[in-house]
Amino acid sequence: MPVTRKSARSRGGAAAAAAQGKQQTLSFHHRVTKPTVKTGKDLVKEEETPETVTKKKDIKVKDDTTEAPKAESHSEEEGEEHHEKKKKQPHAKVKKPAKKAATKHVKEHVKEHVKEEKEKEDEPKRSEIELCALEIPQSAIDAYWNKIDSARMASTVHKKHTQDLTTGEKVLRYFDVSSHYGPCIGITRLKRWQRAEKLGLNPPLEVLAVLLKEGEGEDKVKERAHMDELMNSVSAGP
Amino acid sequence: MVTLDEVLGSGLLQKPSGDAPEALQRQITNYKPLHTFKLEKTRPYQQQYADIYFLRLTKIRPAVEAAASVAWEGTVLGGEKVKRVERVLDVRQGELCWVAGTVYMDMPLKPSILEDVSKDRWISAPTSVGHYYSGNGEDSVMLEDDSGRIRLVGNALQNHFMVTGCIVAVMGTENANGEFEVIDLLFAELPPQPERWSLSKGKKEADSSEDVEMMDASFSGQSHKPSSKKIALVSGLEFSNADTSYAMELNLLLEYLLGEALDPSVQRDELSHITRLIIAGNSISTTAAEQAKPAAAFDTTTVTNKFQSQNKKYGYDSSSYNPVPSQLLDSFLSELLPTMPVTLLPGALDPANASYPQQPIHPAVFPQSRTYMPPPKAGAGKDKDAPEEEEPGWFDSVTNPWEGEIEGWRVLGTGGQNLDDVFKYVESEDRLGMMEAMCRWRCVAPTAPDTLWSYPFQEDEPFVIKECPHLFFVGCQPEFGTKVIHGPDRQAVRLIAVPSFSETREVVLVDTETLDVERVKIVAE
Repeated sequence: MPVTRKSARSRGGAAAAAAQGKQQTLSFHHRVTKPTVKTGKDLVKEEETPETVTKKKDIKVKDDTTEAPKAESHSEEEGEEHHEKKKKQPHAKVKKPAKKAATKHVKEHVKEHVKEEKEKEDEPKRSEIELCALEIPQSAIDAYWNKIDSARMASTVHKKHTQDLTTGEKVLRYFDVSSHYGPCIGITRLKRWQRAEKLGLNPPLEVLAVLLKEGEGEDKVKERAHMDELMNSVSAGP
Repeated sequence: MVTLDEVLGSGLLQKPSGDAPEALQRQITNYKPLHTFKLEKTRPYQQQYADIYFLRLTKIRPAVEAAASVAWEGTVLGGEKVKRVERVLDVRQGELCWVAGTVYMDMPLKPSILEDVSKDRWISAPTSVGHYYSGNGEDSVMLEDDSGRIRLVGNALQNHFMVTGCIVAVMGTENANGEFEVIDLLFAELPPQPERWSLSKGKKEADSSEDVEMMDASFSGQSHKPSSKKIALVSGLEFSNADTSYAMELNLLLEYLLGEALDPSVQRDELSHITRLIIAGNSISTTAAEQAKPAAAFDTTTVTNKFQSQNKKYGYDSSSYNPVPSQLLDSFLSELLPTMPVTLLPGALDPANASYPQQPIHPAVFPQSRTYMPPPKAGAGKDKDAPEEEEPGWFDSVTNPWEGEIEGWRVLGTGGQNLDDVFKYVESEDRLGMMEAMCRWRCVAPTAPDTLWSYPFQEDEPFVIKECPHLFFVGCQPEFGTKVIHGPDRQAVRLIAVPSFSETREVVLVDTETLDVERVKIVAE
């Protein structure tokens, strides 16, 4: 069709038509608000804001509202999501709303942040003895282990088997093998400790300290005795 | 026409002679059952049985060692002083020492799961062997703890009953064969005994005035007139539809307990004093049906036999189910319950679980007597603490073994499986002696879990007797027996072996003030 006056006008005036608002166009003035993964850089910025430690494992959203005004220019959503992804703070820390403690906590956040989130609901009531055990620092546990080790007549022969274990795991394995507290198979370590406590056998508090410490991945405290896992392992044969 | 006066005068019709006999009242006994042997409904079975032995040893060992150190401390034998040794394996040859541990009886006649598995024998149901005791020297007694085992020999062992699971302290030395020669043996002895009314005392003070008045009334009743309340103990009622040899006696028993038997003077003086009935096991019997089957097999041809076996569906023969025995028990109880509270312990033949401790028989078995039991709670089974506070119903279906407080006395009773199992281990027939031994070992069922099926306890083992009962009864025994035993700390326990009613037709009456025992035999001629 020969170019009509109408089409000539429309072709030439495409931009003009757009300017007149006849056609919808994309606009890039609004900010993208979909949630993104935070990078380390962002976290470092947030670290500097002192967070008040209200509850150890509280990841409820309402706590965010107290911290939001302290957060930087990041949007509220990002603040919430940071909170959701925040790791459960390690139990070895005592519950004190101190700024010094806050920086320590926050360093843990950086480490644990990129890992999976572990959502726990309400905290089980801690008994007195568990609170005492929680106050035992890692150095005390190490000292306890060294005492046991030095009491042995011979040093460990096959070091290659034990060097991969943390001191905590070594302490726990020694506790498993102590038949004084009962058989270690078929019962979780924590329950065995509590049973020994109830029967008045005075199991060492350091063992409870190790058991209550939470870790992740390799650091995670094994619930059942190592021997229990070996006995229950099923081997598939030909 | 004959008038009434003429008839009356002639002696054909008589007016009633005296006044109607007054209705007799039954007194109420104070009753408080304990839930020591109740298990959770959602209990796990993942754990090992070794925990039971560990719990038992840990709980009883302090008492045994205390008794042993008192008895043997400073003893010098042959110039050597006795030493205490920590573990069984620390015993040295030629050294005089004493050690505490668990007894293990190694008997070839005892059914052993390890033997069956090693020989790759799969038996569908465990065969019940009569006696484990072989008596030809093949049995060996061992002492065990978490470190190891040592064989015990010596003449001192003959004087005492020994079964797997009792905790002992032995003094002696190791001989050249590696066996431990026993010079002396000690048990934990009776545990501390609570006072009478120890459980109800606190409750009495805290209760409302209503209850206090009742208590005062019963107390004053006891001081004004020596009306002795009695508890009736019976076991082995064994209701069945096939065996009717003792059905007449069961009926007479019902009349006796209701207070309808005999003449009014006896009723007033004796029968109305019976305030509670405790049925100690074996109320239902189903063996008669199986006995009837082989008799029928002789008469019929092989064709009918095939028919009978074809009835099997889902692995059990549904035609062999017979609801009549439980119906008979239910009607017996429902007639008795309006006047008398009943406590029912399950036995070996009753519809409760097969392993120890047997849980209470479910109310569904008693459609008529159910009205006397407490109603089921909404959301029950989740609350572990609730059973402690609820009121026991008039009809209390309880666990076997059972512990409770009746009229202030601590009562411990079982349905008989524990004693029957201990009986298989020893040579003697002295059942009362075995009951006494169980009290002195502080363990109600020492042979659990070795030969007596049991739940694998992990946190707490309830078979250990923590507080000495005043009355210990065992049901379903072949004959009646009673004895009073005394402990080192002024404890006194009345032991009663309740005979099986289906065999002996006897009922036991226990006086609630003096704990004296009467035996009543019901004879139908």
